[in-house]
Amino acid sequence: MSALWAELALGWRRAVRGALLSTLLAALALCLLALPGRDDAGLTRTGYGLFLAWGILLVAALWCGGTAYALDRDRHRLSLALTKPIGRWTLWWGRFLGTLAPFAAAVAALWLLTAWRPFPEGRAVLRPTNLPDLSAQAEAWLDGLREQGRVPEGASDSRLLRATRETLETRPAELRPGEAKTYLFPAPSRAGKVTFRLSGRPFLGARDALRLCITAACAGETWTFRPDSLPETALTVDLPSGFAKPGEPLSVTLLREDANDAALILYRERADVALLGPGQSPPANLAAFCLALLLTVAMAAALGTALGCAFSLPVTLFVGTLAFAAAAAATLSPETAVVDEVASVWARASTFISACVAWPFRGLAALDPLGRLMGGEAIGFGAALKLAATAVLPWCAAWSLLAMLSPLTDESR
Amino acid sequence: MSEPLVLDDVRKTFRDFWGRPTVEAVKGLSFAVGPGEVFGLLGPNGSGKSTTIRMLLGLLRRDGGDIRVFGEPPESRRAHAAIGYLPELTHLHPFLTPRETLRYYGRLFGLGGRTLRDRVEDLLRLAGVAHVADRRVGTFSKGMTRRVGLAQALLNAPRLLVLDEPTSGLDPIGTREVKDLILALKSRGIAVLMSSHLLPDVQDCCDRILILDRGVCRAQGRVSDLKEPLEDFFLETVAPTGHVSPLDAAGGLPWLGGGPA
Repeated sequence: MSALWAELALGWRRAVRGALLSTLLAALALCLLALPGRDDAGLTRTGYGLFLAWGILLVAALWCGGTAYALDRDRHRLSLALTKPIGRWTLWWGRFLGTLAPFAAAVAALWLLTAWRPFPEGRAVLRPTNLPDLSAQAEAWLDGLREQGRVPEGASDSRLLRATRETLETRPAELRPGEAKTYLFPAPSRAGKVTFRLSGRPFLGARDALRLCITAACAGETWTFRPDSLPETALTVDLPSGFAKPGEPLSVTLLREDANDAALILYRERADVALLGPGQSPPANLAAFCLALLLTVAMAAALGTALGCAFSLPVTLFVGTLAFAAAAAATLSPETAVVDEVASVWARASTFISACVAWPFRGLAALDPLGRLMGGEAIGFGAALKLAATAVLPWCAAWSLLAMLSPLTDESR
Repeated sequence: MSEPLVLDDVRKTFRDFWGRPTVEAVKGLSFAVGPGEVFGLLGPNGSGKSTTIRMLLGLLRRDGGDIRVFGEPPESRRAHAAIGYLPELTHLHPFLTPRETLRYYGRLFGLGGRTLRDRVEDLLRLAGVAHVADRRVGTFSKGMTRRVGLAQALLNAPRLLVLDEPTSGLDPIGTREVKDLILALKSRGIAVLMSSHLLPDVQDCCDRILILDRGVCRAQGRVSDLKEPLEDFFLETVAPTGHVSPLDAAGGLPWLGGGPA
């Protein structure tokens, strides 16, 4: 442990006394305070600033992880450490944690720089529980494709099933004239404001002719609401105060009362229908976002440190930057299609590499911390910590294992 | 108790990326260093001294033969715990002060608390850098960096001290202090392996020497058995045909300085 702390302290001092930490803080301040734009009441500028800051931190972590070992090796500073009774694992984890420490400070500074912004409250998102299980549909669909001989060769059943299920999940459902659909929601965890939301631009065509009746029911009470006009984007309806009871499931029925064929109501049942319940305060939501951000920074640092053990400094920086470009596209985009593209490339190379690389990014993409922060949805600390345990830590451990395959010597590459 | 250091028929060949041999750096080298003995490893440039030292420290894999440090393989943690090492070029972290540098390496040895604190202060005084203990090493001269390097080599109270050019870069006072230190450590039973080009220093400190030339041991024995100055013996061993002026060896180089007088 003493050696681990020594390496951590070394990385911290390197960052503080060199230009790293001050440069990071300056870059963050620039992104979050000085981004051009007239009015930030809608937090657009802040959102872009966070996006840029995230990218900067990821690239910097990758590079710093790479130099943590490679730079000392190339400048012949490693021989003294390698002649000490320190294990390879300790050396790697110490360098990795030493790289991560200043970034943790930078993320904390990011929280301080933005905590005073008027972020929306992080509402708890409750999804319908009575939607049909798509696995059976997906299997039936695949069976049909097999009968027609249209299943692509070489594709594994599990991957096809997953892709089919994801396609079905994102396929929009239509609420036809005179049709009613009822969605059951789990009980909110505590008393507070509850809002029904139908997002994703559901109202198409002659919107003015649409007539929608929304009926909520909870603990034997019902409440009906007919909006005078339907918005272009998301429809949000606040339920009356005290209507939703903690511990009592709630249902919402959408009834289309018009007979107009010139207008459509189309939405994805799994993604666009939600009940927003009491969640966490804006500073707490921002803190959860920062935790998720730190996890991705840790992944970048782990990758960089492992590359630095195996390759020379220029190669490390080059390979690391390429890896970052691919990983960033998968991590920062909430679209699982991008993750699938990344996963499919790796799958062609090796199924094992695919499992190692794609799965942590799926988890992060599903968490979508930036989207939730800006959209007023709660980013669960539990979800972030679960991601840390199930994806980030194994990712870091896997890269440390790969780093052990390279000879940890002080010979220049 | 095992000998501090034993090398038996050690070989090392450097290879290129494709595995083809490029340089046979060490060819069948054997020697041993006993407790309380100061052993000098001598040789011209490129003779294999640094390669030998790096192999016995576990920094370089050998291609053949055996190396034992107190009976342990040189890559083992037990061996590393018993060795203090001063490299030929002391590259320290420039953003650390001497006190922080010693604390860092002390922690790598597993030291901590009061033990580490006291040792660090003692070694700062021993190395003569106590007055600049809180100044960053990046601002130091080569000699002062060397002194800090020597201090870190003693942190773990080593039983085998490996010094690669220990007096390089030091002023005459520093050189004298290092030689006195080596003799003092010897009297305490610490084995010392030193590599040096400064033959007077070697003659002052070493009990036995080995002369290496192109990876092969040319001579090995006790300094006290020499019947002539070490410098003469060294030159006879590595250049038995006699010394030739470099200018004559290169054909005179008439374009250099207006030609011969």
